[in-house]
Parts: sequence; structure tokens; C-alpha cells
Amino acid sequence: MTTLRTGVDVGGTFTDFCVVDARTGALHVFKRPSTPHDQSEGIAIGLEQLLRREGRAPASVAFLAHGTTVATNALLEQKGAPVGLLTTEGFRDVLELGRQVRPDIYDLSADKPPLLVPGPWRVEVRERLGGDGRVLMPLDEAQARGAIRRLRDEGAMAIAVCLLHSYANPVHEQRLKALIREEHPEAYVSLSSEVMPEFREFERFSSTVLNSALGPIIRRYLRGFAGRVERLGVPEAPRIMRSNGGIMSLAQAEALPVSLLLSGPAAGVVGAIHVAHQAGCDDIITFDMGGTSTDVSLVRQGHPSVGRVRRLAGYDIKQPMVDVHSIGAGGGSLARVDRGGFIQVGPESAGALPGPACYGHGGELPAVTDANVLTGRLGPAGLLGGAMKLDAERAQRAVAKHVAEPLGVSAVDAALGVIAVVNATMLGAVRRISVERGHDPRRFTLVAFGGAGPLHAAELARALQIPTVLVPEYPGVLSALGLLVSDVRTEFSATRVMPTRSTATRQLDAVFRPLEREAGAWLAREAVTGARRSITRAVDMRYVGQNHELTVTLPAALGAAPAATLGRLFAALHRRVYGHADEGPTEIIAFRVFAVGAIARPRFTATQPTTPAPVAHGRSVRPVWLATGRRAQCRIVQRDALRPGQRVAGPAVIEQMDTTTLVLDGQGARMDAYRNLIITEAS
Amino acid sequence: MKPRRARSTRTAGDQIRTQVIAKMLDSAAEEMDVALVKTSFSPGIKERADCSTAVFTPAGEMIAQAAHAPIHLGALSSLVHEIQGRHGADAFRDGDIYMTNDPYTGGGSHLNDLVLIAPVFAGKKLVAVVGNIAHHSDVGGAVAGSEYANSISIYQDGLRVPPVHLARGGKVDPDMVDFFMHNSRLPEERRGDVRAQVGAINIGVRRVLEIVERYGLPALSAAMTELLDYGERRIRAALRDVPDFSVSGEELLDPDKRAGGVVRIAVKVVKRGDAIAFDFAGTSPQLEEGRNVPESALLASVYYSVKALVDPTLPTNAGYYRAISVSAPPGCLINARPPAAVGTRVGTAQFIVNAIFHAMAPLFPLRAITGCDGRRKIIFTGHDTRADKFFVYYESLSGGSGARHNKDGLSGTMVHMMNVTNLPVECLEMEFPLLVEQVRLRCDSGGAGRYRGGLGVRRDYRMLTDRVRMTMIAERTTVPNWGLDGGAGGGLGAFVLDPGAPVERRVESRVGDVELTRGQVASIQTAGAGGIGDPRGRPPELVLADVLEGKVSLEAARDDYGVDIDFAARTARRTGRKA
Repeated sequence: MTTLRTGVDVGGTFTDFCVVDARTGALHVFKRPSTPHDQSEGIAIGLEQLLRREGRAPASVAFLAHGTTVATNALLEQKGAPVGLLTTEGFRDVLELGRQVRPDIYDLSADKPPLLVPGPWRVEVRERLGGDGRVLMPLDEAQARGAIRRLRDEGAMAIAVCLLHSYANPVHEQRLKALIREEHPEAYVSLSSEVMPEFREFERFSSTVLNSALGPIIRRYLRGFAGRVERLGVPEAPRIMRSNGGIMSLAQAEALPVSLLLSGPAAGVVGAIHVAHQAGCDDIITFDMGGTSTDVSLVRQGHPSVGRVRRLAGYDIKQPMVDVHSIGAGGGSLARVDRGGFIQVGPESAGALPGPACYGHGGELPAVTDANVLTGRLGPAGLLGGAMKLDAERAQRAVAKHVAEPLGVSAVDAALGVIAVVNATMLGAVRRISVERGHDPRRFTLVAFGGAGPLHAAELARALQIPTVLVPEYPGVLSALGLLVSDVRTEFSATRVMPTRSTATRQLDAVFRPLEREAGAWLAREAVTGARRSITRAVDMRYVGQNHELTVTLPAALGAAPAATLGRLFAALHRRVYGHADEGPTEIIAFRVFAVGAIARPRFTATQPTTPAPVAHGRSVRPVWLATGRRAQCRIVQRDALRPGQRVAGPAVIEQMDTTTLVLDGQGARMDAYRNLIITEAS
Repeated sequence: MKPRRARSTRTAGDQIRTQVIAKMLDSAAEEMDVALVKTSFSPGIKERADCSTAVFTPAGEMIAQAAHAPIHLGALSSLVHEIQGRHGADAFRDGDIYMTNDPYTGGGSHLNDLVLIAPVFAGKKLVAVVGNIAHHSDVGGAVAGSEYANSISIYQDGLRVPPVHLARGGKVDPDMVDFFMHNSRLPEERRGDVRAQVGAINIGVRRVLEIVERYGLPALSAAMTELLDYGERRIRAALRDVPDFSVSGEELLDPDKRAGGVVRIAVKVVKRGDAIAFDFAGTSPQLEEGRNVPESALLASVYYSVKALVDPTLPTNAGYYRAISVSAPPGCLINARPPAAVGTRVGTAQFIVNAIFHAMAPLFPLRAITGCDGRRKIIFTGHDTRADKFFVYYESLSGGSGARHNKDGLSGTMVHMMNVTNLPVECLEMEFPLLVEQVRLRCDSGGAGRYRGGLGVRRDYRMLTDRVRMTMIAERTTVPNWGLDGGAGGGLGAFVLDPGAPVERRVESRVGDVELTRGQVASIQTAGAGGIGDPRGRPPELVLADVLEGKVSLEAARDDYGVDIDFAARTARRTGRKA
């Protein structure tokens, strides 16, 4: 029976599996070392082991979704293919110039990332379109053919076609694609009008070139992955997680590798949304703190914030992406005292080797983890259920020498300072995605995961006055879980500037209908049918004269006066985001159609709490220093020993295989029916 | 402008709270900034982020800022005192917002930069001041865009607003908005920008009050004091690490338009112990054109230079200013007195930085870069017959950035006091009756060297409507950017009308008002930066790469670098021939 639904998230160190049996709702998680030379090898081995362990045949796998870092790693490690660029005559240097700002205002040694197009491969073709899509100069096909042949002869295996105003009319880009197919059929080709059909040339060109650079690697990887899965005998075509929080077919991923760059973090957010939804919270802030970095994002009514422009490894990317804000601070971040006598944490990290001083692998410098050990928050038994011991004395020495002595304070005070500084950095990150965008964090639940998230969440929540913290049952494999519950999702857009005042339903339909046809065809290709389909409309709007748009999602029917409805919806959104709005004239800049195919979502088992709710006291106590400087005897509770409905009064430390949760003085933790820990302030 | 010593009293607990409050202050400034950029109407603010926001102590010392352009660093520093001087010690009341754009009464640095500042009161107590500054596209004056290159006094630049109330008791005075709008060629845009600036102020006030509610006023005050002291400790520690020195430098600008004489910025920098002093004696007198610099922009230029050269990680607050003293003769080019015109002051401010870099480069070789700023500013205005409306399009196009001690300079990149983005060609062609025919790096414009200077850019605009009026402002038309250690100077910039046509003509550096007609082309060619080190020490394969990328010509490879290139075979060989 095909009932196993499987999510596989591949990270740098571990490949995480999350499997649900659709018959029973039983959830299994499983970790094995990653195989960085070919991620799909680790997936295949792990799948086999898993099936054997469960005594199931490969044919029983009904669904397989994969979150991958192949694209991200290729970008970070500069392993993309060199790209040949075909662009409008006069514009070969758009990529090098960018938006003409320097990479750092004060550090003049900072550089932009290397160009992915070697100088001689920036080739101009004679053609020109106007801003309205009109052909001002027809494409010179003979010259273009010559350019393509030259790129072919010089060995360009990836080509990006980036023409000015192609968002308004793709005719020349399409024609160039046909010519490339004729002259150089093996080349991987991306068109800017397909990768991101929106105006502002630099960001569109940059995304398209990146897409081409990643294309050959991703094509090779995905084909290898598909082959392995097929050879295993898994009947279902696997799917890939994309940066927008949805999944897609391998064929689409192959055409749009630039949409894979946030595959892993997006899956984590989707996983967090799912566990929080089961626990009854749909407004959440996700807090994923790992060893070297931390990701935060904001979710409203179960929908992640989606951004369209961001910079990764210095490259500007325009794609729908779950708006995950990353900061370079985590458990392995190193602490020091600067020349002004302030503690600084990060961005330097102890990494896996030598790691924090307490790992005893030769690290001498204090990391955030050392501060957690020194203050008793991390126990002597160590990480991974005791498999990795932590040396408190080394932690003490490192913190004393590099933080306490320069400051002239005790080692404990220094460690508390290090924790407070890293928490202040987290606070800044959460404010950026919430307060700075018009959301009050006090109305959200903080969902903490990653190895270090649950250890810092309670203090972070208290500083932000967030009333509730949720720590999922498996905080270490939330991305793999997210893969199981992601819908098939994409969007189609068209840039058309029109005054809102004069829009009639007929005009809106004229733009939306072709996009909806594309969306329908796409859903069909993704094998989504009938009631599982949903297609929604949205428009990017702004006041006439502004240059930044807000995306307004449209109701199913706009009514008899669409212009008035649009104006009202936009004003309400503008007021929420920026604090003010008025009656001024508005315009529509872009039309969007979101296509979603709901997947059959597995239900996880809930255990009804026993009554009356017992209190867990834990087996032991240990002294823990709290932020106030107070040394408190903390209950130490094993999470495995907790049952749904049980409560733990703070201060307490709740330990489990892949993380440690701190509950502060004055807070209480409760295990809910889905085995999540819910931490609240005791009133 | 006298240095002062820092106290140092702190405990771990205080420090922790201080750092949390610092994050919240930074966040308040960032939030004001995001709101301002995204809701404003002037192209300079909304698309190029020519604006900054900041939080100040009650005494007016800047404590947190979100700055895109360092030129705004010093702009607000003396404004609080100025307002108290004009309006009395109790000038600030709850719900007030002041506005000003006057470079000579403490506010902005040219009339386009409108400053709004507002006190933050917790009960009856003034706890902070929040402010923002934004470049308005037109504030009246002789030419649209208000940056008149030929102004002989500030009265030709535009409307001059001293610090006056824009709002009292939380209510914006509509008369004041009307008055301001009425003096602009684009009144509706003014209304939108002022509204965006007020919106940002309200956000800032709210966020600072939240800090007071959360941590109490004593904690906020203590944190502000400590953050400023911290900034001071950082700079003084960094200065103590460097041996004492006394060095001089100088920078030449394009000649004085009226008198034709040399225009010079001279600087002497003396570092003793943990303090550093800048003396600009010997700088040319102020000019009868828009290139003069008011004191606020001079200070900003010095503060920027110190941070970039001594320690780029210094906290961006006024604490570090305390170790710096500045003197410049009153009435000189860079410490202008009213009614000197200052419309195009940033062009000159760039060369204050260059003069300082010129003097200090030997002492800070790892952070100094060669002479740069090849920027050219253009303003096109006219009637767009397609849309039947008046338009003002302006843009600062970057030149090359200076070569570094171990690598080439960045091409087509904003330097020093400026960091505004360009307007995407696709945006500008949709909005204005202009067609951009090319945006290319200029071959051979980067100064030759072991490490090459950044290249300038060429951007050609074709007019799609009749009677377009054009203003052009630039330096580096006759005096090139300097190189270091044997590196060559950068290529000069130019404004060329109808390039390649029989009627082609070059126009001078600063032209107030040229009329172009439909079909004419204006070519803006920005200057390159200087190189570092002997060009003959540059590895031939790098010269080859430059040739293949169109950055260096075959002739320059041979003559400047002593490298023969076989283009077809893609090989390069050093000839040893002397240039």
C-alpha cells in the first residue's frame, strides 16, 4: 500500500528524514550523515535503511519531497558554470555596474562578488524595445547567430538572454532562444522574461545570469537524484522545495534553479507553520538558531511573508522567496571584548572544528555555547544525548581569559553578558521583520527550533514581550517535516502600469486571464487537479509618484466598482505597513496570479492529555545562572519523560537529543497534545 | 569642535542593558528609514535613497542613524542648538516638528535637503530628538531641480527655510505645507514627501517612547551617555595605536569658472596621543558659484574620512567625533559664509575627503584608496508631450572608485560622501521622454597601475521631446584623479552633445541651462580613478583580461603597461619597451 509520505532535507552535516504513515498518522524521524559530493547518494542510502527498518517496500512510498542546498552551496562556493550573456546593444555592463552603490560604506576594501559572466562573453545584440514593449529596432538575427556561434565555439555551456524591456514583450528573447536551440542545442538557456518578467533591469539580469550559472549543476544533480529514486523502486515522482515555501516538479526546478536558493530555510518555516497550526497558533515568528547563523521570519494567518528581492552571497536575486532574515550569529559565534570595552559576538564562528572551547577539540576562544555551559544552561552530560561531552572547565577558561578579565568582571557575569549580547542581536533581527514592517511582535507566538533556538527563546520572548514560545517535538528536523506539508505553489506576473481610477473589470481580466491560463497549465503539469487547485489574483499598487509597491491580494470578486475596492484595499495595507494612507490617486504596476495545489496533508497523532495535569519535577536539579545574575536551582527534566498535559515550572532546563530548552523563572512550560512544549509567563 | 575625554563607569548589567537599548535605537532609525524610502515621491528618495534618519540625545548628539549617504552625517549635529538659539531654551514642546533646509542655520547642507526634527517627551521631560533628512527634487530657485551650478548666492538656489514649526501639539500646520509646496515646480510631490517625512518622525517618536516605557528613562539616558562614551573610547584606542604624526595633503578642483583661477583644498592633519586635528588653512576662498561647502558638510567629510581610514567598524554615533577637531578659515571654500551658494556642495565635499586621503595614505596604506570621484550630476527638465506634464529627471552617475593597496578599484561605483543608487533604465524610460542608448564602462579611463583605478561610465541619452533643459555639474573635466606610488591618474570626464555627429560639441564642467531638442543626444562620461603602483608591474595576464573585457585598449596595454597583446590568440607578453 502506498502510504508513506517522506520529506528529506539535506544540510551540510546531516540529511534529515521525516516519514508519516498516512494510515496511522505515526511520525518517524531519522538522521544520517550527508554526502556532500552528491547529496542524492545519502538520500538513497537513508531511504533504503528507513524502508528496511520499517519493513516496507519502496513501492509503498506515496510522496517524496526534497529540500536541497545544492544550489546554495554552488553559489557560496563559486562553482556555477561560467555564463555567456546576450544583451541589448549598449548594455553589456549593466551587471558590473549594478545599482552603482559600493558594497560597504566605510570599508573601502570590500568587493562586489565576482561576475558570473567572463568579460569576453558579455555579448551585445542589435535590437531594442521601448518601455511599452514596442519594437524600436528589430532583432538583427544574422549578427545574433554569429554571437551565439562565438559563445559556442568558446565553450559557453550556459547562456543567459537579458534584453531591455523584455518583461513588456518577450518576442526578441524568445527568438534568441530559438536561435540558440538551432546553433547550440546543448547549452543551458535562461530568458530574463521567463526567470522574472518584471521591470528594473539589473535585478532581472542578475537573477537570470545566476539561473544560468546554476543550471548545468542543478540539471545534473536532479537527473541523478531522479535516477536513484527510480532505481530504488519508488513509484512516485519526487518533488523539490523552492524558496517560496512551495514544492515543484523536478522539471520546473531544472528550468528555475535560482528558485532553489532558500529551499532549506523555506521548508523550516513551512514546518513551523504546520506544528504551530496544530497547536492553534497561526501568527508566528520563527526563530531557527543554529551553529553559525540564525534565521527569523514572520508568518501571519498561516501565510509566510514572501519577499521578492534579496542579496545572497553578494548577488542580487529577484524571485518569490519566503522572507527569512538571516544573521551571522549562532551557538558557535565567538565572543570578544572590543577596544571600547563592549562585548561583541560574531560574525567570526568557531565552526565545527575546532568548535567552541567546551568541545575540547583545541578551540581556545569562547563561543556562545561556552557561555551557555558556564552558566549551567547546557549540562555536563553534553549534546546529542550525551554522545558529545562538554568540558565546563575549558569553557570557563576561555570566557575568563577573553571576556571576564578584559572587562574586570566574574566569568559568570561575562558569560551572562555574552548571552545577553547575542540575544540583543536576535532582538534586533526580530524587530526588523516585525516592528519595522508594521507588526507588533506581542501578537505572535515564537516558534523556536534549530540546535540553539530553544535555549535562547525564552529570554528573547521576554525581551520582546512575546507571550508564548512553542518548541516543536523535533526541533532539529523541522525542515524535513515542512517538506511533508508543503503545497505545490508558484506565481505568474506581468508588469503593466495603469491608473487604478480608470480600471474596469474588463481591463483587469484582460491581463489576468492569460496569467490564469498559464497557472492552469502549470498546475496540470504538476498533476494537480480539481478541488485541490486554487488560483488567486493580486496586484502590486502604489500611490502615483511613489516607486515602491505593495502587493494587494484580491478577493474572488471585486464587485461593481473595482477601482474603489482596489483603492480601499491598498489604503488599508499602506496604513498597516507605514502608519498612514490617504485618498491620493493610485496605480497598478504589476499583476500577479498565485497558483496553489493543495497536497494531501498528513495528520499527526494527538495524544489527549491525562487529567488532572500532573507536574513534572524532573530527576535532578543543577545551578543555573539567570540573566538577572541570580544563581537558581533549576529542575532538569528529560523531554522524553514528559507526557502531554504535563507542566514544568520555571526555572527549568528541559533536555532532549537535539536541543535544550530553557524555561525562565516566572515562566511555565506545558506539553501539548502534539508533544510541543508551550512556554508562557506565569501570570 | 574641541575634543573631550571619556568617563568610563560601567558594570556588566549596565552594559547588557546598554547594548539592548542600542539595538532598539538602531531599529527605530532603520524603521524610520524604511518608511521614508518606501512612501516618498521624489525619485531621489524613493528610488535612490538620498535620505537619512537619526535619533539624537536631548543635547543633540547623534546616537543612532540609518544613513545611505555619509554627507548627511554632520548635517543635523548643530541643529538642536540652533533651534534653541532661535526659539528659546524651551523651544521644544511635545508634538512639535521643526522643518528647515537652511545650510547656514544648522540644518541641511543644501536647500534640496529638507530636515524634519521632533522632540520626544516622556511626560514633561525631553528624552530624545528624532530627525530625518531627505533630498527633495525641487525647492524653487533659478533652475528646475534647484541645483544651479552658476548661482552666485544662495538666494538663487531656491526657497530658504530656517528652522520653523511644521507641527505643534501633534498637528501639522497646513499653511506651512502650502507655503513650501507653493515654492516648488512639483508641488504635489512636495506634499507627498513631507507627509512621508512626518510619517517617519511619528514612527521614531513612538519607538523611543517604547524604550522609555520598557526600561525607564534613567536607563535610556544612561545608555545614551554610555554609547557616546563608548564611541569615544573606540576612536581614542584606535588613535593611540598609531604613532603620532603631522602630515599635509592637497587636492585641486576644476578651475574657478569666473576668475579661471586654481581651486585648492589644503589640509594639515596632526595626530597627538588619542586626538586628531584637521586644519584646512590654505584652502581657496569661497566662490561665486554653487560649489561652496557649509560647515556641516565639512564636518561630515572629516568624520567620514576618519572612520574609513582609522577604523571602519567605529560605531556610527557622535561619540567618536569628540576625538576630532576641525578648523577651516571662515569664508573659505569649505567653510562658506552666507550668502555663498552651496547647491552643488557634495562635489566639493568629495575632494575634502580626497585631500585627507592624500595626506594620510602613507600612514594608512591598507585602508586608503587613490583619488576618486568622477561623478557627474545631470538634471533634465521639460514638458513631456506624451503624458502632457512637466518633468524633472535628475541623476548622479558614478565614476570609478580608487585603487586599493592590493586590488583594482571598483568601476562605476559611488565613492566617499555619496552612495545613492542609479535609476534603472527601464524605470526612467517609462517615466521620462528619454531613451538611453548606452551604459558602458569607458575603456582606458581607469588610471594605469599595478592595481588599476576603477573605470568611469558613459551613458548616452536621446531626447524624445522638444525643449528639454539640461543642467550639468561635475568636477574632473580638467584636473584628473591622482594615483599613488607610481600609478597613473584617472581619465577625465566629459559632457558631450551629439557625439559622433558633425555638430558634436563638448560642454564645460558646470553648465546651468542648455536647451536640447528632440533627437539630440547628451553623452555623460564620468571620470576614472587613479591607479596604485607601477603599471609595468601589473601581471600581463591581468592586462590581457582587461583588454578582453574592453577595459584597456591594445594601445594602452602596449604604451602604459608595456604589454603586447595578441587578441586572436589571447596571449600577452611584456615587452620591456618604455612607454
